[in-house]
Amino acid sequence: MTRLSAGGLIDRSRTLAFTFDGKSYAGHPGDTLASALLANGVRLVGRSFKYHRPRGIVTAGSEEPNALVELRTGARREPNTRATTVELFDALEATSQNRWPSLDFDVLSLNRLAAPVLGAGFYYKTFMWPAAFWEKVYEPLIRRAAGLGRAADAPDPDAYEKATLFCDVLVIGSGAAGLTAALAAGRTGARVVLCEEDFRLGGRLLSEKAEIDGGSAADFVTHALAELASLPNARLMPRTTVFGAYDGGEFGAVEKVSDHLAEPAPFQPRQRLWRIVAKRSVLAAGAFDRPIVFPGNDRPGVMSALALATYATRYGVAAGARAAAFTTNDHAVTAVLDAAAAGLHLAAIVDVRPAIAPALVTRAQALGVEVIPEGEIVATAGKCLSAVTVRTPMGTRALSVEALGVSGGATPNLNLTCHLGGRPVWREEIAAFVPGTLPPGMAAAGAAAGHLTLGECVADGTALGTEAAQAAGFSASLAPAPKTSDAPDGRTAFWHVKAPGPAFVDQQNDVTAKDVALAHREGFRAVELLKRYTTLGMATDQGKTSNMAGLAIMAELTGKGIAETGTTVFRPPYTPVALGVLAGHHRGVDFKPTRPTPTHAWAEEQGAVFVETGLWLRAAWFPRAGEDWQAAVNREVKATREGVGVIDVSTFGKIDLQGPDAGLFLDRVYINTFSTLPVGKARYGVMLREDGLVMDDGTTARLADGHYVMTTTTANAAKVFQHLEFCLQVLWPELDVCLASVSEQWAQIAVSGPRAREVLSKLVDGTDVSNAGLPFMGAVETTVMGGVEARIFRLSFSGELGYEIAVPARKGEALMRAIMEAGALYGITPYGTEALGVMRIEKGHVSGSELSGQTSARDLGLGRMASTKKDYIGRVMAGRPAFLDPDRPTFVGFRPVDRTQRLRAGAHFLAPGAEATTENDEGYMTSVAFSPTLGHSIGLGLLKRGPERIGEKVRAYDPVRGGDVEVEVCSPHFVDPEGEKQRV
Amino acid sequence: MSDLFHAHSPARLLPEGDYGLEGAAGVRAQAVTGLAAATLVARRGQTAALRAACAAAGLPLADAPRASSGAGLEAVGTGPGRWLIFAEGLSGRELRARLEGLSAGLAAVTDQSDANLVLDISGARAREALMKGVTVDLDPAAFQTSDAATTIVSHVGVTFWQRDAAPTFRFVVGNSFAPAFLRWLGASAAEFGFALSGTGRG
Repeated sequence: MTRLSAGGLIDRSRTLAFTFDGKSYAGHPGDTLASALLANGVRLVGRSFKYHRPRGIVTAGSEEPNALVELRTGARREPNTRATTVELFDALEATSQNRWPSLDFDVLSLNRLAAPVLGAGFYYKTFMWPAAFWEKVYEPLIRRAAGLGRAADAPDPDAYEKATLFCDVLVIGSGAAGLTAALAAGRTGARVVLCEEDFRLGGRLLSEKAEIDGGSAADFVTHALAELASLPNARLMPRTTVFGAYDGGEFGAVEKVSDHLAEPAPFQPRQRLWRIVAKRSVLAAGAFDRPIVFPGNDRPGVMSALALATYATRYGVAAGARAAAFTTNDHAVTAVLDAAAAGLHLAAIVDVRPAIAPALVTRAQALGVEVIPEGEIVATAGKCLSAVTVRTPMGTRALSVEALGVSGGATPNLNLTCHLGGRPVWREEIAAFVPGTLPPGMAAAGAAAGHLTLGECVADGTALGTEAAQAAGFSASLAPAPKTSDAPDGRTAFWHVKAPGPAFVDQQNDVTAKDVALAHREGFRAVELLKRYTTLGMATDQGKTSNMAGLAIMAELTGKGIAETGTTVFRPPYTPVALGVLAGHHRGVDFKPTRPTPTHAWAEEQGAVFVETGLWLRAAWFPRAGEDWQAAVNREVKATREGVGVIDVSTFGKIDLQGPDAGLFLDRVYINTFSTLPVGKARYGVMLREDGLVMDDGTTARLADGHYVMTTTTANAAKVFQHLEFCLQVLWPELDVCLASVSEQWAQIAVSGPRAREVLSKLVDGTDVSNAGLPFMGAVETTVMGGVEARIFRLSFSGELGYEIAVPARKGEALMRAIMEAGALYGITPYGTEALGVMRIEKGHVSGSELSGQTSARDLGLGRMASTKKDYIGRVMAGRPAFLDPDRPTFVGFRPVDRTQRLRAGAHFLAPGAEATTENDEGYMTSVAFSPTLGHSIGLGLLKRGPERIGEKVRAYDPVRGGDVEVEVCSPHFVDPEGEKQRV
Repeated sequence: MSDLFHAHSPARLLPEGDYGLEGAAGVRAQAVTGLAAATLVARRGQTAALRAACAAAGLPLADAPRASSGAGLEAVGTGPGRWLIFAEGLSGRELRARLEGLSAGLAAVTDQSDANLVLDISGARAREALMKGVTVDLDPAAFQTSDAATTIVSHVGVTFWQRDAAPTFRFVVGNSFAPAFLRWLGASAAEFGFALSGTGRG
């Protein structure tokens, strides 16, 4: 055990059992998986991505590149979880990744022997030929070898949700700057949200021994949190990572509600996605401790100096029995001395500078820590670290250590400042990039802004928290910032130790200093190209720790400064976000709303088989005992054509138009004329998009002088309403027309067939529904079933005598039952969308497959409907030469020459004997059905010069499904071509 | 909870009953019946005249996302010059006739009495449940009694307003979307305990 005897923010009175690779260990509440593993002396936690090199824990936060593990088992198995961010819980099970057969002995570590040829671009250069091998052979092979863990293969048993939060001031990060910003803003009464990705608030203050206002940093955190908790206007959100900054002051954040539990508590989600809308924000996300590139720097036991210190001070863990530090800056030296004070056996501090602050030297001496100035680590030894070699001007010497804390300085955590296009700016004094242009309303405070001392952090937080609240409309005056102890703040810029041996820049992607040099030699010098060529800074950590050293080495090679070399920028998300939390409630049947029709319950009783049409759930057919789909549909069609059938057509969009200009308005949106439509009549209309293609079709009836009701297709109901609103608000605001959607208000049921009138006459309250009283395309407002308001339209989609009866939606089911009762005598048959489709194909009516967004009115044989006496949307563009090309595929019908053959939609037409090539393509089949009326398969389609070719034979060629059928071109009106049945 | 309602058809309203955490429900939802409803849309350029006419008849109309009441009617602004009007104890036809009289040719009136599920959502945790789908700031500092919004919740278009400080929010949801809305509400309120009434057996 390497747990220190005392100290740390862990609850030593309680023990948590956990396993790693099947072996049992114990930790304490307050531990992360990483700290608990280190406390148990586990230093080897993973194998690297490419070379399968043994790797250990290198950080104590979400920037971790190495310690990726699989967490949990079964359906909850979760790959690539950073052990440094996993809050330990009882019975946690973790497994290492990317090794076989075991972590300790990994066969693919032989890749290391091949490392000299496996450099950057190796895969691109080697596996490029033959090209066909890439997808089938090379890629699967490489993926197997380079796996990053396995996803669960069962459905996720947990739930996720999304929520929206509004605030005046969002503070991101709860260290010294974040806490002071939240306090300053919260005291003004502003609504403050403080997000912290860690499970404990306090940031670096939890690991530092500094003094604030005369007390310890820990006391300051305690008091600040107590005050914030007492403010009703402040909301503290631990375990919440702000992962993206978006337009309008919006932020995306993930709250890990239950990740620290074996299973979520009842009715609790696993994670919650927050959309946070903030008037102002303060980014106080701190800084990353950046590595130094030196030979053997990836050996388990080599870690960030601040991580080494954090494990000792916050978690009470010695990362090794004997440790050393390799530093370039006073901040890191202070931190490791804090660790030594907490009980870590720190043998030496190797600093690249000729001298470090005398106060630190004195403190080191007091703690028995040797300080080695002008030193560099040039080599490391052991599978897990056992020794390091130090080179100084006096020569080299070995230090026997199990842990090495490395710090090359601070990299401000400015990721969020880049999300709206801001580019970081180089600041030479601190040898780091700092935020450039910030997202609107954002201020950067403390280390995130490159203000690295504690004093600067609290001053920043206090000032920017106050300013943010003021900008959000709260009155406040700037209070003095807390007083902090002074600490030395010297540093030098140092990136890379020049010595032989593999020195890793990016441990997650196995990118070495040599790879950067190779990229330079081969011309991939721009930072963006460097990233793509070497994979530096890719994958789960996005180079939070590695980018800087990589581009510093490139800058050195090109001889340009870092400022000129520049840096890649960051996009959301800041840390990986699970797809489940982005989906939230919307998965499975809740993926999208399911819309039932007003007669859904009745259709269920009838044993309907339902089909999803858009969001709607509609009855597709009503099978009777022993019937398959085809038999049921055939029966429904025949029953309707010979007797009477009934179907719920409530899903059509219905739009109420009122006002003196309604007729004129319709004339402009439809290709045909509606202003001349008599009251009490309906008309079929076609509307185009601006580009001349058909947008939608349907019937519109005139109920009164200035009152029309429009029907749209089911699919386009919302789109057409939106289009009409656009036309009225933007194109013709002078027109006096009022729109209202009445799709939900009216249930509409179609009764069709020779017996339809008999059925209807039993439902109406005395209305004359004779052929004279309600002729074809007539519309009447009346009552049915003894006083129920109704609108009856004499329309026909099936081609039979037909009526559509609309009643208020809550009466829809009652109407359906009344129709069934009234029709019982005539054997009335409910039919579904399948029979509806068959009958419209038999009649040659166009529907969704023809209104595909690629067809003009002329293509669909509807060109003659277009008025030449008025202007309308799409008129000019529909006259484009290509649309008038006589060779353009045009709407016709098809039947198989051998009537027993089945047609398939999607088949392409070819002249007989023509080779099946794109050049010979003459159009395609849009809809097909088996016609029970004719006893064979029929089809509709678009054929080059179609109407001129009636009687010709062509091939319907369907290579995807192996179809090749000779078909005869015919009129699309297969049944009752003169349309007599609907007029009787 | 995606699995919370696995036994219930997504095409039916959730049956009335208690869902989620046991004990006193933090969120209650009650389906309101017996309301007539209509849209009232001012004719071109007539918004001011219409408001004046309605105010004179006892129904003040706010040309804003706000609810108002008077003359036995409740009005909610849903867009510039557009309102949803509700009345208790009237039929759709009666409400339409009243509004046509009230608006004196200055507006289009369209019956919507059968278009929507009207749901009163209340309870100590109502705001917390609603924030899981409502992307409008419901904090008392920003949204108070009579404030209204027409927005999208969980892919469903809704109009809602706050009726009292309890708080009680009245939601108007298209009938065909009501099952999906209730599934979202139930899932969102389950952690606080959710009591649903007025939907019968679904």
